[in-house]
Amino acid sequence: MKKFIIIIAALCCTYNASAWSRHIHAGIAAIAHDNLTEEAKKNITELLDGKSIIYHAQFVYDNADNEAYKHTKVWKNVAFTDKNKILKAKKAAKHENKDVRNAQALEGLISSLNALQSGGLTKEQTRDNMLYVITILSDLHCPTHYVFTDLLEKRKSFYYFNDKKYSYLTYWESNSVRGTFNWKTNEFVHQLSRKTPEQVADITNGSVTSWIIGNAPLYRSVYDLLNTGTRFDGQTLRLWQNKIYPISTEQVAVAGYRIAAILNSLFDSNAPQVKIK
Amino acid sequence: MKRLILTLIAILTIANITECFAWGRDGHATIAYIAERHLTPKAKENIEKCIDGRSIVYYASWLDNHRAEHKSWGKLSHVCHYDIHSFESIGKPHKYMKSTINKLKKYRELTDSARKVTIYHFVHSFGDYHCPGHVALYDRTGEKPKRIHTSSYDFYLNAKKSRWNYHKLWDAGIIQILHPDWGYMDWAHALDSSISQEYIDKVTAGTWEDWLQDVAKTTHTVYNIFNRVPKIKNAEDALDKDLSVVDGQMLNEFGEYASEQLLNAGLRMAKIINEIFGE
Repeated sequence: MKKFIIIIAALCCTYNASAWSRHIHAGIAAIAHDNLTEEAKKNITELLDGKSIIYHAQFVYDNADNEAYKHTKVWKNVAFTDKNKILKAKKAAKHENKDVRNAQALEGLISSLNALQSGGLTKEQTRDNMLYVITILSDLHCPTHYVFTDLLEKRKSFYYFNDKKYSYLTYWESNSVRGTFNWKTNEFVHQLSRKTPEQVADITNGSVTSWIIGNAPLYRSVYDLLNTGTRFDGQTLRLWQNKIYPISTEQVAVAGYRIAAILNSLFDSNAPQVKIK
Repeated sequence: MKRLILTLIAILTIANITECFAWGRDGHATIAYIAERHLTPKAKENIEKCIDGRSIVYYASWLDNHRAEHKSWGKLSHVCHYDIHSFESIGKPHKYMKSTINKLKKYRELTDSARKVTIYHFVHSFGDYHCPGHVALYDRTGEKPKRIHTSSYDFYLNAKKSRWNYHKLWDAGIIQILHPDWGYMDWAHALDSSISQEYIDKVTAGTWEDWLQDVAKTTHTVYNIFNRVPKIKNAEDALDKDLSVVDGQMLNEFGEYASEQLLNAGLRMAKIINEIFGE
């Protein structure tokens, strides 16, 4: 029994280390898959040897220990100044804070998108770059991947529930949806893949870079939702979670639609084109 | 079964499950999803328009999640009371359900927010009232009504590692014991994929009052299973010597009842929504 609990706890820790947890990455990919055009779906399925993008929803994390992909280790976060301006990768790389040093996700995303758009890649390179885009664009709809240089201390925020200490960022990554809904992968689609064409147009309007910059003010405000050290009981935790799940579920949906838009743009010549910058 | 129970205990511990509500999230979502599968296109379109295009499943546990923000809801009775002989309804829950359904019937006259909240109440409470953990039976032949079976009936699962009670078993416990990995789509697929029209007609015949009375009769049968639960022999802890042990076979029987109630509640919920929103 004790062994069982330790194993599960260890698994939870592993998932926590990979930004959105595995079930959310799968949910986002499933929403994206649900919104692919037939042509894009056909081309992508061919690229993945018959599998869907859901299978590879967190490719970057699944291959974190592979030497060939070690350059993706700093493709974790995007850093912003106190004015919500993006901190360039070169500057971020020299920062004393590790989360800021790892804030080269936007550059990674852009380089993969540029490579895919320009063509001339092998099948394997095309597959890898597409799967980078899926993992990273998912993560860039998770507030914990936005490192605000003026709020670095707030990244250490924590709370107590029944006298046990929990990290706020880990809550976002693992429980911001699961704290309210026990959705399985297809259930994410049933619940969240139901935007109107007008809503989808609004979500996917602009360039990939503008999506990321546009997320920053909301994700900055997420830090206002917790006074570090707060002690929750069952009822106050529930009240607090009620403020969080509408944001997290909406971000999951938005990520899914935007991934679909960029994949349609890349793999269906008749689909609307999405600008990178 | 023993391993399954141990696994369940571990899952509940790790998940920090502190809230116990009828059926739990998965049960309520299953009922609402079964209902959704049986809605007419018109009814589905109309009810989803009222809740910002979302599925009714999204709001299946909204009442539990948001109860703390609306203190008055905590006072709503979530237990149906029945006479054990006549199965006549006694108490307030019927009045609450009647008022909720009456409000739904006039949904076009309600404000947007009142319409939404009424739908949230209905989708949740209708499921609650199909949960055997939310039925209390009384013998009224004496001077004072006597509650025959208490929902705080305590027992051990066969591993003797975990003390449970009747209410907790029905509040999510039984569903997670049966299929800890299933989501609401899995449950609906398993229960609702091959039912006959005859079954639907039979279960949805009559009024909602008849249906809840039917739940009360079922609950009586469930209570009777507990009556044949053996008491613990040679209990080490004298304080617990009267507790019973529910074994795997009994859990399977409870599972049958739970599955039947989830399905019936979904089919009946669909009938009411179709009647009101299908026009």
